[in-house]
Amino acid sequence: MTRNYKMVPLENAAPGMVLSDNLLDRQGKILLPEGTTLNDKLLESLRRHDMDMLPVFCEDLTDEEQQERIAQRQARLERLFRKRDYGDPEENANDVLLQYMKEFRRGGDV
Amino acid sequence: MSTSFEEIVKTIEELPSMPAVVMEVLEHIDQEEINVIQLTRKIMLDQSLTAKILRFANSSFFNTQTKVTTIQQAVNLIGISGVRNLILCTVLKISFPEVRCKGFDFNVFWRHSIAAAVCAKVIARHLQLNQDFAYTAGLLHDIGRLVFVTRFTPQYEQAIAYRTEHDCHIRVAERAVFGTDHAAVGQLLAQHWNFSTGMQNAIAKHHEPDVAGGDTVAAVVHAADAIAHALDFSGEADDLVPPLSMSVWNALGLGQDDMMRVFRETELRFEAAQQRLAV
Repeated sequence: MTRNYKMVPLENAAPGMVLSDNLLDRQGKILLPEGTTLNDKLLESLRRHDMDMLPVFCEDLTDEEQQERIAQRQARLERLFRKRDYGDPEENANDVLLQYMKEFRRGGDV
Repeated sequence: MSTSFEEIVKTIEELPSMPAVVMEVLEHIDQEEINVIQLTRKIMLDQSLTAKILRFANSSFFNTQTKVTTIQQAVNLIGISGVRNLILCTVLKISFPEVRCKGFDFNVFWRHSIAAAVCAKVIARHLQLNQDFAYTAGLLHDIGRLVFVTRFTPQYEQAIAYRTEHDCHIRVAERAVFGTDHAAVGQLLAQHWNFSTGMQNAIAKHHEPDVAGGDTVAAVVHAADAIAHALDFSGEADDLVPPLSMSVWNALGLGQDDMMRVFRETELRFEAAQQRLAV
């Protein structure tokens, strides 16, 4: 994920927006691939599926804004994972989850 | 103002039993095939439930052209598992009406339960386990907290205050005040309501699943609980990710790419699920 994305409710999605991620159906099969440009017909068919938030690309931020946003998200994660007395690190996976989450939050705009 | 374990057990035993229709839908939860006609007949016996389901089916969420007037139509529209979870949420909200409890926000509670349910379902799909069962287990994993907050409100306020003061996990605070925690109390409630042993186990062990002992669904919910907190669905300033067991993490066997997909998909599906159950 190199560009920014945001989640928009289906009712606010407009033709011309571009999906930033594969859209999956209930079974996890790809409904619409990443990069699809939305149009009225697609939006209508999405309303019939179990989906009401769409990940779409949004304007690129300046590097500075980008860094700021990433820093905020990482700080929030540190806060959520602030407990360090979970016990034996061999038996505890919170650090692994934290690393994955940090990686995840580096990508998207949520 | 301390509460004995006997007192908690007594309170749970005095709760009304689950309405027959709810037991009926829960019984079928492990089954692949379900008799839709039988189920709709059972639902129609309960007027308030019927009204809720129809109101929901006709809500703007489904954007239907024609008015839904029968349960059969609604089931076709929402799906069996959708109806089941809607019934469960409705019954929980009736059994545990909202009270004023300092530091406890019912909206946050439901947001977290739904997020854990959605995440448990996504994980279950990756592992090819029963997705609907995982979803329901995720939805129910914290029902013990509903017992505490609605039946022992002043004491639960103490537990929440203890949590804030010590910045510990809520389970630690519950033990300090009640001598027991929401997982144990949730199990008692699940027993009282005759939930399947699988469901009882998932609720009872969601903080300490014994992977080698076969607590598969409990393990899925355990991970989903931690991920839902980490994805920050509660939005509470002092929220805390609960301990995540390494043996569970390893048993799930999901690598970084898989986990990224789990995170993404949980976020994608959360809003839709929340609207579906907000009746």
